[in-house]
Amino acid sequence: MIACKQVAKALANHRYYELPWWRRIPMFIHIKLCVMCGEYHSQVVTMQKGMRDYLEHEEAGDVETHIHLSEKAKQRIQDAMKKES
Amino acid sequence: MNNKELTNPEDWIAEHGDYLMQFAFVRLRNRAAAEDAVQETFLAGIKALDRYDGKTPVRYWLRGILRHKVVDYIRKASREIAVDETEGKEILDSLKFKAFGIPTQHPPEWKFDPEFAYKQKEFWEVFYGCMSHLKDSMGQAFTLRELEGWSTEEICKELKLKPNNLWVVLHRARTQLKSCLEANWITP
Repeated sequence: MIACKQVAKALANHRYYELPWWRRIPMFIHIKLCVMCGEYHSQVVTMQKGMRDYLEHEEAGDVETHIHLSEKAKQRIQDAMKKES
Repeated sequence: MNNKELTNPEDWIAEHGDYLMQFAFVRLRNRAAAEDAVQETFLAGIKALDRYDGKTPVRYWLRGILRHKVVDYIRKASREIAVDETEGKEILDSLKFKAFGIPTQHPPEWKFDPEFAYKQKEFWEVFYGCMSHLKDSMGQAFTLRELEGWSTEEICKELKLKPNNLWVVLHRARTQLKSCLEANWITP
């Protein structure tokens, strides 16, 4: 049986599904039996789901932000593009 | 007409400039660097236009070029990330692993319901803001792992980080991101 400390390190470092099977199986059993590690695992997975969902929204271009190219940067880029083409 | 025939580099700044800027900024967390990366992308796009087959929309084609520029920038900017050898132990202690490595306290719960928040359009603006404010040292590793999908080995090699320390850096980044989201997201 692996220890909670090992589980915490592995969860922080890897995506669970990327682990080789011989590490995934004891981890899975541990997470199912240990309430604390189960909760920690669930938090890491929730955060990873957030990252995946963010990437989907980014792909769709529907994340509203206040970050835009400044007018100065637009002018600079436009000038550089004219020189290039 | 395919995407290639429809695209005109003169329109790129107006049509894709802000989208690419947002893409670069959340990964680089530096306005000047993000603007430079966008400029380099457009210039590389003009040079490579002959090789663009027009099958994918031009925005995604340019984004592919930008992705490489971003990774190049992170490579150049990366300095050795300082990880105090005792910090890993402190993190494990903060998770309240006591005698024999058995935890005695539950990890702190989310202060909001993340599953509900993920369904709110406004949440992603807060998420973007928090991602953009990650400290550089941890932000680089977190970006490569979570946004670019790099493996542990690749990240450690590029950022000159010991594999045994990566988990500390990623844990730091997740903790900072969670705290920022909890401080800034107000459930409607």
